[in-house]
Amino acid sequence: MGLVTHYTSSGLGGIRTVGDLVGRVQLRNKCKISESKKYVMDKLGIGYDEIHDECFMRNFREEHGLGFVTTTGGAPYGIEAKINIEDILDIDIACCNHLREVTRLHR
Amino acid sequence: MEEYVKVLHDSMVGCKVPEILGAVDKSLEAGMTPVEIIDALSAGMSDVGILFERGKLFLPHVLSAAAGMNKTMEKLTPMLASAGGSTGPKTAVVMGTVEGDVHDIGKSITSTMLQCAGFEIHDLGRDVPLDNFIKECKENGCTMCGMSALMTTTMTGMKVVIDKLQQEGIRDKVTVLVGGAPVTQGYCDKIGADVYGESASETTQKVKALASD
Amino acid sequence: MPAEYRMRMGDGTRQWMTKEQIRADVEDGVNNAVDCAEVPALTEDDICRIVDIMCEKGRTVSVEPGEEVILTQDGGELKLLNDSGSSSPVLEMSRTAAIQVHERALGMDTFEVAYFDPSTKMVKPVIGMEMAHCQNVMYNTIIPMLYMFMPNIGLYYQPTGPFGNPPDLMREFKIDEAMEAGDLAMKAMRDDIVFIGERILSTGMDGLDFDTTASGGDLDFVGSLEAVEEIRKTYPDADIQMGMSAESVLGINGMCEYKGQLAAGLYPHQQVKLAEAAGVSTFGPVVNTNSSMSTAWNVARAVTMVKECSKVSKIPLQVNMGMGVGGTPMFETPPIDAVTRADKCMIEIAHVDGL
Repeated sequence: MGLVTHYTSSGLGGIRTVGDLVGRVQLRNKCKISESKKYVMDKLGIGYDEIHDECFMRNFREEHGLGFVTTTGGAPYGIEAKINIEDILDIDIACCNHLREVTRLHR
Repeated sequence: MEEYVKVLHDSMVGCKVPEILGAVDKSLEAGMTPVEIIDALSAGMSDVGILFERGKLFLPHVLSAAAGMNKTMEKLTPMLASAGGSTGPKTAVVMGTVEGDVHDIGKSITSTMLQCAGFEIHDLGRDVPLDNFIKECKENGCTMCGMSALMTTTMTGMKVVIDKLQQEGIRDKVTVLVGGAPVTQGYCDKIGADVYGESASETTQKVKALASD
Repeated sequence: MPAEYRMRMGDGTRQWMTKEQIRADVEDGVNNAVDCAEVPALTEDDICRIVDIMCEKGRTVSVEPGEEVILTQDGGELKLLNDSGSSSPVLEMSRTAAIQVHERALGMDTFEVAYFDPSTKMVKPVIGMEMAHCQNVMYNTIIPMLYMFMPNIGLYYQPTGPFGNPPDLMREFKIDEAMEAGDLAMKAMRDDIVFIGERILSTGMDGLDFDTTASGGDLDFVGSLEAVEEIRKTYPDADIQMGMSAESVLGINGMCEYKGQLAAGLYPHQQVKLAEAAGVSTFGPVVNTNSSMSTAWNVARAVTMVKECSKVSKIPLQVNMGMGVGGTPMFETPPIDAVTRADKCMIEIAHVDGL
């Protein structure tokens, strides 16, 4: 029971910033933290300071439909946001593929 | 005799039964007493336990060393008896993981090391009803009670056992050992247990020291 | 009178120490790691840095902006809901809501979803329910979600399982029987891991997390590695995380190998190479906290071992920093001064990719 402690001292911040995006790239590409961050920066077209900045990323995520902590009515969330994340990061996300397989939705 | 002490120690750490027995024979020929031989091998056995925990030796090695120790005792016990001495009855230790807890690797390894150190082990396994520890002490002559827990919710059972030993009027006759991941020296002191071991080898060393007092 | 600094012991109790005492503990912790794991010692700069971090006056410390790493929670939603091996807050909410709390309120970057009793043997009978839960979670969350379960070969031994208990059999000097029982249990556990893994991944879950791997020693470790290899054949792109249970692999069998490498006795920098070979995506090394030593000692020791692991690893490292590991005190609600210092040292000096 100390998650908040770890977050405030060293966590990227999840959907408050790019933590989920970097985490996804790190897992998928099996790459170290610096490479994962660079990948995300390159794909999002933003800089090192921006990806760590909650204020900048709040607006960025809202504009690109990547999901945020406090979802506003109608804004993409959950799997909707992940479909947008697939596009912006240029990676496949398993549940999005699964959704497309079991429905008539196409990428 | 120093060189034979080293040979005995090293043969035990080598964990090969023929070499252990060979070292014992050579030591006897050189005039070492059975007690001196047993002490040297016991020191080697302690190091075997430490090396096991450090990943340098593995469980089959530990048991092979124990087999060497057992065969040595078979050979030396008649000599001790004829010289008027004895190894004395083994101290009986009841061991178990407390009720509600099914983790037992650490407890099993500790049981193994204590057995190798010459204790008589009554291992009750895991998820042991608390009364069974008391029963083993009252009815089967166990003067040491070792309890393990891996969960903060089950380690509270250790205090219950200690209280029950008190109620049965045998607390002062039983040495209580506690261990397991969430258990600390502070917790051991808090519940009134006697021995806390951070590891199986540390527990064994502390128990051996107590038993020889 | 030399200045004293607030330190913690490995059990969380407070201790006041001078800078010299802290330095001595750091050096001792480093030397202990070198001795146990046969890894290089930390540099003088590293040692000074740890001492400086330990002596910082603030209640908490943190990494510099821009140095943040991936944070994940391998205990799953059950850390909020119920007893997962330690007494929990027992908050009454659904599993999905608990997961969303971690995502939205607790800043997790990735997360692990788990059943209430997350051992392989316990998850297998409820796999249908778990698959449905995973589908629900994937629709309602954004961050990467892995399904966590513990290999836990121990449950395959009697009395909970069908096979003899090797340590007990060995104590009776039934060595051959012990070896056979261990082998059979390993195969059964491996097959069950593949059963669970493939079904969970078929729901669209991002990946799997093997928690407390090698808790049952070398057989547990090798069985898990073989299972990862098998799962990869069907799901080559799945995200597979492997977190260990202890700093060295216990040699219960002593002879079992993975790809020609003996599994027993391996330390983190050696364990990670086997994990890489099996196809693991991220690796979570563990270094055990000694509750009788100071946080300075424990952190120095942990950082020394993990630094070497990080250096040799080709895959990202997410070091375990929960209660009782990674230098964190063995306490259910670990003191934040100790936790944040351990985090900062681990990131700045051991260069880990996540916690």
